[in-house]
Amino acid sequence: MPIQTKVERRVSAVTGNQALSRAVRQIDPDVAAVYPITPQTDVAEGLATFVADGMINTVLVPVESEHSAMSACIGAAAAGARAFTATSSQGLAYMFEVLYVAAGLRLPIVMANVNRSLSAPINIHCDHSDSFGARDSGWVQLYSENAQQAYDNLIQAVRIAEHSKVLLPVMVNVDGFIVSHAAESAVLLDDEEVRQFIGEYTPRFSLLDVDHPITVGPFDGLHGYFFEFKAAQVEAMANAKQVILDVGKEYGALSGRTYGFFEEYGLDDADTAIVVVGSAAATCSSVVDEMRAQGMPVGLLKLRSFRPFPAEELADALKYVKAVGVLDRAVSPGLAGGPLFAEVKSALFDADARPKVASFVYGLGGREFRPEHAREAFASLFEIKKTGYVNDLVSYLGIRKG
Amino acid sequence: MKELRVNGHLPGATIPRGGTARDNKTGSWRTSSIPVFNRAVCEACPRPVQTCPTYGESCSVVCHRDCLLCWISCPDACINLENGCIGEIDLDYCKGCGLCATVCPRGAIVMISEEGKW
Amino acid sequence: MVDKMVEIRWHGRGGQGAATAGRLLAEATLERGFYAQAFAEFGPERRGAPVQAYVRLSPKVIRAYYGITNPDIVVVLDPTLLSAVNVAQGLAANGTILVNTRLSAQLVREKLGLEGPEVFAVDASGIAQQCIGVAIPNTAMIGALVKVKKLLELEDILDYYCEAFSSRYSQRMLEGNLNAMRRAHGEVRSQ
Repeated sequence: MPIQTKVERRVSAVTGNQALSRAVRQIDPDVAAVYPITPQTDVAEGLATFVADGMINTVLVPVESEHSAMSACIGAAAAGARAFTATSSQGLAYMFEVLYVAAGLRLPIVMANVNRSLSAPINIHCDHSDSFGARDSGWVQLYSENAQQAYDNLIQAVRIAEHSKVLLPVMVNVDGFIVSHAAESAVLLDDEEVRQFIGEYTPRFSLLDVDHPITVGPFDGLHGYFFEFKAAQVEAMANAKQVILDVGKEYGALSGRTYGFFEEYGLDDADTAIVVVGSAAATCSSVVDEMRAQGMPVGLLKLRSFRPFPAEELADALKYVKAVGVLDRAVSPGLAGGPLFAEVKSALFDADARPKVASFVYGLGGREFRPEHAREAFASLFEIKKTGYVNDLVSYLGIRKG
Repeated sequence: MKELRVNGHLPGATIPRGGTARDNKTGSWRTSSIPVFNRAVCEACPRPVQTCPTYGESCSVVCHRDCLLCWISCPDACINLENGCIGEIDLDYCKGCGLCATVCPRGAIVMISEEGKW
Repeated sequence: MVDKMVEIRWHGRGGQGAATAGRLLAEATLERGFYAQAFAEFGPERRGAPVQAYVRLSPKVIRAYYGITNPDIVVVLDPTLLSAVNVAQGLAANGTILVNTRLSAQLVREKLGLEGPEVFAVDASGIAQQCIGVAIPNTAMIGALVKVKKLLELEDILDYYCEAFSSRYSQRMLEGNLNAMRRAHGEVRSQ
């Protein structure tokens, strides 16, 4: 995913949240049901402003909770509408049961999730506990490194979700405050370009089509086909892999920014590497540059697609690496290592040259992730490479001692 | 890319037609008795009773006006109307609860053992 | 002129416009073809609470998503912070600190015990009070900042300010802020 902008495009100063709301304005969904929550709030505000100013045709449904927001999106999507919502943290947790309904009914809803930790203790800052917790809900999950990627991911999400072989809801994740509230440069597409890229949405059916009545969400009990429908959902998620690549490539032709499952940074000849999602990837990439300038063959894999998880491709990208450090901005108490770590390690289990893998937990509750933390992780990986032994399976980066 | 089709259904278990509850003949759950409707009794109301729509007004002995209490009370909507009057009871869906017989002010519906039908 | 990465830390109190000033400077710099990043340290926001805002300006893509601990420039929007917060923490020895105060730069230097960094002072609150009618010093401080560090020309900032705020502010507010920037640009002093 090299960020290379076409020179003639105008650079805008946007926060991550503004990038998201501007993408939504250009997507112009039929229905949006959004309940405000920090740090997503200005996505909701931006959207409400666009509606109030008549800049979009979206019907904005004022809802009293995130559970209702997702439920309204499900109703709208079943009626054949393009539906959008956005949330964070407790809001995503409150949506939890309906997340599964949206995915199970195969409704191509697009949601922006501005990552924030889950209480308690109460905290409004970034970590990935919210979206990682929803990893099994059947949603495609894309992660963004910066405002530009938040914008790009949201536009591509529409195409991925609505693809006839996918038909799954897509969640675009953006680091709360770190990206959502930081103003930086981003290159936005023209309205017309976005309109053409996402195309007209032709739903397979509509609940509002009284001439062709349908049954949505029928009971499917013990002797029904629940198991088979779940298998079909897994199949659709597998199909999403090719679609993510195709859409990412097509988007690249349009914008100059091509997307895949992940971005490899200095991995070709690296013997130690870090795997990470979100804004920390940017910080890590600057550390990789710095260490490479000192002659250290280090690399980075910036994961974009967490669901579907590109296990084979990831194992292939890391096949020459001797020691891999997986950075998790979330914990799974009781699991040996962070959630992303467990998935990466599992992906590497069947690799011919099975590299050593260590888990690094960082940034919980918005704790700053700084270059020294990336250096500290690499230092541990050098030790693992040298000894061939993982002494500390899980380390905390930036935790206060005592 | 393949698409797994489950039993011909659309993805997400959506059924491409409405009114599918009709396919489920809940009458098969019936355990004891079935309602039998006697039109003559329904129409031959012996005297004004409170539940009669024309109660308190001049009342002919034979009013020919069904009160429809059984129709509105049936939890499975299996009492069909014909020209505004009680018609067939749809045994495909009747679970034999007997509510219709209980509410009828004229005793026009009686529950009889289904065994008798065999 | 931004020929290498410049990191600026703003100290203010909630309501003084530290975050807005940072954002304005970043956007105006971005307009001139550089890369810029502006963000604030968010907490339980309330008026009067000490806040920090950060700005990075660079000729290259910025890949840093963390607070600024070793700023090249520190801007202090409220003189009372000098005794409440260690505003000079991590400031480079060849760095610059600009303080909104009626005191002299020399007194600020003594109060903070600074040796290396350049110290500048300007009565931004007084200027704002006179020009805008409210003592919100953020725009005046930007005017002073581009005088002491030639990140941008004063005209660049003034032009961008007009472009960004003309639809939101009354003519009187707009003029007031522009004047505050011009005056602080002229009145900032190092003694």
